[in-house]
Amino acid sequence: MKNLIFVILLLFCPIFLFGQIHLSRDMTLKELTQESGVRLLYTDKNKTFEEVKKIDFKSSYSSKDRATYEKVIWLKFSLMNTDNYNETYYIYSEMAYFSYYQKIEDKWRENNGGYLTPLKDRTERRTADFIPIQIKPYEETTIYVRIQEGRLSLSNQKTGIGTKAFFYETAYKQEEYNRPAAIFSLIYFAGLSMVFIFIGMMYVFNRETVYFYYMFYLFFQLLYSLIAYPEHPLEFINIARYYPEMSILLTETVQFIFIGFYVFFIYKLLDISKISVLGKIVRIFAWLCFLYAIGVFIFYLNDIDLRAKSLTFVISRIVVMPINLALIIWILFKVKHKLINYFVIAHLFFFVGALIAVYIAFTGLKTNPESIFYFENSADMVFQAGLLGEVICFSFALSLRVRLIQKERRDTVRAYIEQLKENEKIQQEMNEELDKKVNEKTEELLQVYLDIEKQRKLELQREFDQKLKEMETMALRSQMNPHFLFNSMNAIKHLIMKESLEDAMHYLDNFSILLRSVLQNSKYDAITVEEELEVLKLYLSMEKIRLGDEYSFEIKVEKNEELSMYAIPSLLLQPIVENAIWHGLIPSAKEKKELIISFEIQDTLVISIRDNGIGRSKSSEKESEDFEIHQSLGLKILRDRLALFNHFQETKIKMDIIDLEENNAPSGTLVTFTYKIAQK
Amino acid sequence: MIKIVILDDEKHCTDILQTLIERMRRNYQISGVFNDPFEALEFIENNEIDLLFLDIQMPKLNGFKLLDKISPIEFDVIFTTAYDQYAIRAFEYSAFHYLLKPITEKALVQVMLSWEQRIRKVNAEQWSLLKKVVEEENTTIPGKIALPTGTGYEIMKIEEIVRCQSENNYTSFVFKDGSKALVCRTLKEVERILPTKSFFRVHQSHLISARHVKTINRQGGGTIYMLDGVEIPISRQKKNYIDNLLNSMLKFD
Repeated sequence: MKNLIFVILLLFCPIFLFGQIHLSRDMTLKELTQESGVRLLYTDKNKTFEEVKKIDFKSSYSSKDRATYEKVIWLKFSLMNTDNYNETYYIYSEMAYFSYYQKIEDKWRENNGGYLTPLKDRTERRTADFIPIQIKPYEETTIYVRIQEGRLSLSNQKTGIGTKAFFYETAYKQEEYNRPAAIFSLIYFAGLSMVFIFIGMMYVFNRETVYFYYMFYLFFQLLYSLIAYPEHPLEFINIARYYPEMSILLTETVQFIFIGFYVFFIYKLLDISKISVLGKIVRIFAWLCFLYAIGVFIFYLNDIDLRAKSLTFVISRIVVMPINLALIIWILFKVKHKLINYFVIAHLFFFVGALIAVYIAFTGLKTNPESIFYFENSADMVFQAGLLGEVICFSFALSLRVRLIQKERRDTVRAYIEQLKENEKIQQEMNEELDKKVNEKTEELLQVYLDIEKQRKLELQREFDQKLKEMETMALRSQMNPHFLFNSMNAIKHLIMKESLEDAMHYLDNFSILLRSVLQNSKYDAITVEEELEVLKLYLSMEKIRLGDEYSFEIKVEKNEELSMYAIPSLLLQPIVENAIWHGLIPSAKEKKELIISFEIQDTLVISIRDNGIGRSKSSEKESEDFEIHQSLGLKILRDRLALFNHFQETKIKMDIIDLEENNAPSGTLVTFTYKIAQK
Repeated sequence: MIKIVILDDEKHCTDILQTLIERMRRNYQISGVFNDPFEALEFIENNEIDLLFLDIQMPKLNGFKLLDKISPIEFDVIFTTAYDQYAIRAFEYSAFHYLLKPITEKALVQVMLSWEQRIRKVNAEQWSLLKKVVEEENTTIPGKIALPTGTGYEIMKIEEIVRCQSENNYTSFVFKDGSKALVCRTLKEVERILPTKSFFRVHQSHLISARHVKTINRQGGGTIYMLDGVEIPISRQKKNYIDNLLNSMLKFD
């Protein structure tokens, strides 16, 4: 296309002067090979301007002359502004490096251009192909131009001088041509950056190597996109333009590094490590990519020409692509992963992109204005579009992976919780079981205890009841002493026989009262001492009638009223008194037979029954054995009754039997009942 | 002259009683002696008498049933019985005179003297009280009691009795409304009649109703303050009764 413009320019060029290039606004571009006054000099690339200035330029510049990296071309010519304007013109070249030198106010000034010149060194930053030049109206000036090829470039060697209009036109066309790529690369760059930042965050928070690999993959992709795109209207995307030479050197290296990271990423994403052989091969492949990347970089750092570069490029791709494909197919067959579909789709994107790119490159669609791929770097852009699709796909895959992991974790947690619940349930059941058992056992034990207690109580009760009944019957029997009964009958009979009827009646009255009292009192556990005293009085009055005057019975009562305050088992005293009379006094040879019953109340009540009879020891000698048994049985019953009384009643009575002595001879018996002072 | 009728199904009983009454040589006129209750009933309905000696246990018609057939009872009755605890208790409650067989001369004299002090007829209320106690056979404590006073009988609700105090052979009663009565019974006799669960002989001279105790002071010998404001000492032997008393008091509220 540029040739076309050039031809047109040639045709319409109005001024054609020899040895001097005349500049005016009417022209568009004057190509230097077509100008007659342009002198040429080949030097090696290290010659400085100062050195060149001194050398004579002998030959003229023709379209056959070609500058290389090692052998640069110096051009010398003079320019003349034929217009009456202070006009800006442009030195134009498509070479990798070019510069011109102009003398302004007796000083040579250097201005640089060319697409491999670092951006900071360039005079015109907007475009690498133009360097502005100022020439005053009608002024003539000498210009030196240096052109040099890039080390690995193959540039159009066209060099000339153009007007401002030409510059703008070219620049506009260039911009138009670049626009799709510029827009796309911005989208691509922004998109990739976002994903990169996101994955970077994921890595920082999760520390999972899959993110690490993907992050670096993206990083080198970004780097590659910066390197691959030559010029961009946005300054920050042009970072690589500041180091154009380094960028070219890194192109291959960066690609292989990201391929290496990509392979590692796939390795992790699809858990290929589980398949030992495939995993090993994939890992080796990735490391080989890294190795190649470093090797290529070192290789390029040393002097290398364009052919070598092409060779490595082709070889590497011829080797890598089939391996890549083989591995992909292997993975597709071997790996059974939930994310394998994403992997396939991602690769489809990649392959489709790559295929279209190759197609574009080989069919020359890029240079056909009719084609939709007629724009700067179109093949690269299509390829990158495929990459972007792939990246998006992998992003989906990664997010799905997160979901899968989360789900797995959730499931695990849920399962764990389930297990815990189950455990708890089992524990609870066991506890309940245990509780139940303990309760049952406790209940059982308690029941046994209760039963034992109940049994014991019952037994005790029965024992007591039996004893009580025994006591009652025995007591009754002892009260209703048949001796006394029949003796009384006999006494009445005797009185009737004596015809002392009054006495007989009196005796009978007392006898009936006594019997009634005995019967009545025997119903109660305890009666008052007052009541017992009544019975005793009756009994004694009856005995007195029977026994006559030699017997003296005395009852001493201090405070009759108070006796009602003391309880006593019914007929406790009567048997003692009866015993004293019949076994103490009657056998006695004493003239005066005395029985004194006293009820003394001081701190407490003391009942004493004293006789002056023969005493217990003598009495037992005299009596028959049978009677002794009877007597001691009577005494035992008495003691038992007293014990029972003491057990059940609040008042306690203590019985003492004292054998009285006078001059070492028995002189009677004293029985005392002492009331304990109630304490509570 | 006091006209007396004797009724007992056993002849030796009527004989003894008749002999003993005659031996007293008072202005008593024995109008009739019967061994058949129906004959006696006929006699009583047709003649004016003052006093009937009535046996309870009779095969054809017992004493209570006989009295039931007479209305109004225009004479007084002294019951005779050999051994009947329930009947005795009923007499005590309704303050009827009674004699226990064998009847001793001493007992007869005592009863007659006591009776003579306030000659009167069987009171309807007293009679119904007796019947009630007899019919219920002492299963429940009667709500009322008849108290023989110097001039007659007072029938009181038992729960109205605040306390009883011994006055020689008499007992003075104090009632809830503040009134008093001197009853011809010893404190011992009174104690025997009144329910033991609510009446306590806290002292030889005092029988108190737990229902009407105001405060109990455990200090010193122990003192009880009754509703009528009288302070009653607790006998040393009965100190332990305080707890029983308290339990009993709690039951009333």
